[in-house]
Amino acid sequence: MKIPCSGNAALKWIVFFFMAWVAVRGAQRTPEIASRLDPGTFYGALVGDSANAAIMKERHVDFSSETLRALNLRLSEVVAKPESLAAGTLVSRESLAMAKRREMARWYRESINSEHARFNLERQHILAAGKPAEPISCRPAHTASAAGEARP
Amino acid sequence: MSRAGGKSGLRRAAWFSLAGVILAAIGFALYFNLWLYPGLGLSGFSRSDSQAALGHAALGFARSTGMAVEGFDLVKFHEVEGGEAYVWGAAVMRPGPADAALLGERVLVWVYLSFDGFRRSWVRVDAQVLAAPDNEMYFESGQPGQLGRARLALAKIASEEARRFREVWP
Repeated sequence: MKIPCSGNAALKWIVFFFMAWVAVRGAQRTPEIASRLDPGTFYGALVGDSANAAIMKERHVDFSSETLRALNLRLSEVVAKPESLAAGTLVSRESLAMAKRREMARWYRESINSEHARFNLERQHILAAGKPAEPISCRPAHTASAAGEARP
Repeated sequence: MSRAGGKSGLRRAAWFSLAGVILAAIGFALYFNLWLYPGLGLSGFSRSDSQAALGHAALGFARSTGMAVEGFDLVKFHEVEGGEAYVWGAAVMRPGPADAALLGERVLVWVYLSFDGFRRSWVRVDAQVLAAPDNEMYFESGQPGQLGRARLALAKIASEEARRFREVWP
């Protein structure tokens, strides 16, 4: 199919321009360049994401430990009053004990994940503290004008 | 010609109205579950009023399920500097006489809210009875079967939806 186009060269230039724009914007978002263009935002975002992940993992641990408390509550009620178990449901003494074992295993996994997330957050704090001091597009350092000497 | 045209026009009108009803139902379900229910009654609590917001959400859950709140077993507030804020907790509740046979005398209810920066309000993310009798943790291998599990999951979704309606329009 022939596309009628009088401004063929103009179209080529426009396509070239937008592809170059995409390449430049994409490059600016790579960690190697973004961390030097705007270190504060880059490392701040990494710390924020890690902090958020650590909070979510802690929530999972809390959910699991509260589920264990609820299971203990139900189990103690069932032991005290076996007639309180309704027939035709999934809950029995055996299934309660099994659910408790499952939930303990899950709590163990979740607490390991939470600890890993906290380690990662510490690591991101350290990386943010030791971030490159000078971005690529930096202005002349203040010290140069103050001391009155030119430095490379 | 005119008779055939009228018949097809009627059929088309029927299809259009059916599609309209389905679209309106989907739109209402989205509006209800993503906007109306999550923020209902929570717009008055600021970001630092997390405990009050959590208490309000727990009371709403209790009212819609006929339970009485006795207190909180756990309340936690966390926030990312300049970002998200979360509050979650486990409320101790006493089920009504109708549910006591199924749930027991006391239950723990998980309530979880997050602060929506766009709405500038707390929103409900999750509220559920912990270790409820229809929980998957009681499943054994092949018991219940796949159909039974699907039926349980659908019943869970339907009852949660009905509970939300009861909470919004008591």
